[in-house]
Amino acid sequence: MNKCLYCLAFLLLFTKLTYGQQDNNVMISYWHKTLAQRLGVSPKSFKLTQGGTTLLRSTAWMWDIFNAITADTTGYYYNPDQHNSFIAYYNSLLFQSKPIPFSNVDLADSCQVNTAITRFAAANNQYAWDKTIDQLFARLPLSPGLHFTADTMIRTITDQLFKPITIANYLGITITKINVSITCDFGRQYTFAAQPYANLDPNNIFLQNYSPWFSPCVYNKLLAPGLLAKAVRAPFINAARPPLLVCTALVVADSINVCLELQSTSKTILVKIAHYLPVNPDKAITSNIVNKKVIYTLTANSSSPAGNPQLIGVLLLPANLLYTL
Amino acid sequence: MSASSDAMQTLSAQWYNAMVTGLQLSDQQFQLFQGTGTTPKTSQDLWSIFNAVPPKSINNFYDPSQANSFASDYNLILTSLVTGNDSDFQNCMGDYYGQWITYFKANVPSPFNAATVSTVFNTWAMINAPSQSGCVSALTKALINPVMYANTIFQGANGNYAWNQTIDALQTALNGGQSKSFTLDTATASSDISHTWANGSASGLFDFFSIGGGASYDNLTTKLTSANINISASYQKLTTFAAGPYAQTNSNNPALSSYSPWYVSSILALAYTTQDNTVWNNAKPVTWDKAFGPAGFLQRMATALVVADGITITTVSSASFNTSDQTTITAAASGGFWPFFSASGSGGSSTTVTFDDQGRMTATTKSALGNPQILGVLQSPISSIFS
Repeated sequence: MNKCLYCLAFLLLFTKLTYGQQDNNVMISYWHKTLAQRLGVSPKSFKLTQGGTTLLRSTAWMWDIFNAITADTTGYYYNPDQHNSFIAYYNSLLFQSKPIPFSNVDLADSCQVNTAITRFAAANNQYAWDKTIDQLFARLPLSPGLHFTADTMIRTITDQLFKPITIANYLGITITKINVSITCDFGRQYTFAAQPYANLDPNNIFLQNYSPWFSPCVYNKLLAPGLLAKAVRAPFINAARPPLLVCTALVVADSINVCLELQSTSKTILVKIAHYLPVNPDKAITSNIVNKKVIYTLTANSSSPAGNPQLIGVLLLPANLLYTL
Repeated sequence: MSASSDAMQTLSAQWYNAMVTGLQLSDQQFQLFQGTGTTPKTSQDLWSIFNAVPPKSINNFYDPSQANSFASDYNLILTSLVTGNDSDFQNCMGDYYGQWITYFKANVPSPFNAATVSTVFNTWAMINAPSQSGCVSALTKALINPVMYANTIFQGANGNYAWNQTIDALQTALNGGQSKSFTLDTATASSDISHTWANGSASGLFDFFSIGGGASYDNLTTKLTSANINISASYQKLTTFAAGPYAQTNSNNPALSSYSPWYVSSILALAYTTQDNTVWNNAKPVTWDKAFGPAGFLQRMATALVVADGITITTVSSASFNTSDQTTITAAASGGFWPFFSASGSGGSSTTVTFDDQGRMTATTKSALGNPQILGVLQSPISSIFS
């Protein structure tokens, strides 16, 4: 009976979405997890961009992404909001700090709040990151591709879902299996990390117009207990709130071809799923007979040509852990 | 609410669910967008859309003249905060403070910023107070006071509030956008939007016919929506385009050269995360509750736009229409049909309507590349940004 009630609760959850829609969401979740694994990153730190994001050849555009802070509320999707800025938070931390009286300054200390304040102010509202978009565009064509095929199986509920759900008809519900195969072919893939500009880079012509403004050491010092009141550090360290996340790397791909193949004995369910894919359900579903059973196959391709790199996702890290790892 | 309005609410909810799933968008952020300015031509048009505070609804009929504006809300909050005194510099200077102030008033640098003020101080201190030269850090700190800085730059913007991306960047992003498509079958699609960020709210009323509003169009809408509808949408180019309030000078973008930064995010962070009078000025009418409370004026912000170009929408209705209805529908085609309104000929779009022998309608609206349309907005609740 307990098992029966558990299943009922499960079904009630499913009634929020139609089965094709729900299955599609399950597949995106699977794609997110699998891609993170193949990239060698934690699914917790990796987020997929929504809809599709073209990589713009603009350093300012890229720095705006690295500068943005958001809380983790959108599951496997990246929230690209840019209303909260890492630079402004760092400014806030410095402003709340107490400069050490000159007589007490240890000149051998390379982690001085005084120096950090002066260099931040000297940047004069021109705050750079240590990499430019040209470096990304130069690196991407030299990067290896990412190629893999991942298989899984999902179970879904068929037409019975649309009947009123009661204990009485619970036993009539049919579970259908769908074999999912994703073939990923990124001609070029690169995970491009950048950090707030902390050390002078004389070799980067673009950065000659900027001065280093950030001190990782002072940043950590200010977030650690002691120098600042807890209330000042709260946005970064309050465990009761969702962590504030900062983008540490862009996951970029070029020459993209992703093929999704679904196999099931239910054509109905494949048609429903096909609605959410860039395919014509009538043409994308084929059939063949295996062990006297009709097996239907839905194939969908998504591609972007070479020379048109896309931002596939980003890596995020809680702001208070940025320079402690 | 009329039967046709009810039907359009249901259809809008189904369309929302289909679009979110088909375009891989988060139902915790996406909002359907319709109204004036769906085809922004200038950066100013674009910024007006980013500046509008999205209502709590899965769909929004955007009207720039009625929109609650982020920049105004930010100003209301900014002017309601305590500026704060920073006494570190005065304490550090001790008896020399008065002498320095006298000198400084006669030697205010231009431009006035932390670097130039520090230079003036260092020169003065070297001659007049070498023992106090280390106070430059405290002086510099006073100059990075976020509230003072925010007030200064907001006033300096003179009512011209830019965002950090321009229309050229949107066009470039679209040129590299991906092709996407999906279909909606109203017979099976879910109209449940309780799982979305708006918790089931759908406020912006969309009509099926752009020139609708009369009883005959209401009846036609009811007839259309009472039968099964299949909508097929394809977009040759689609991109998600994020932008934020202009906060840092971008000297590499000529389109932004006549604008100055006006936004300091730590002000909103400070205001949102602290409710007491250490941050909020009790003498001002705007309080934390009026800004961010349950009925506050700033609940969420526009984060990104979902923009498409090269659009084809085909709507097939199973309802049978008589000759008179067919004439009315064909006449209405000049303005386009939901979910894609655009007058034929304008913006490169055209709508054709055909009826089969049984009077079933197939309407196809096409818009050539070069005529981008905003499909929706990604919104972010303020609680998810300034946690």
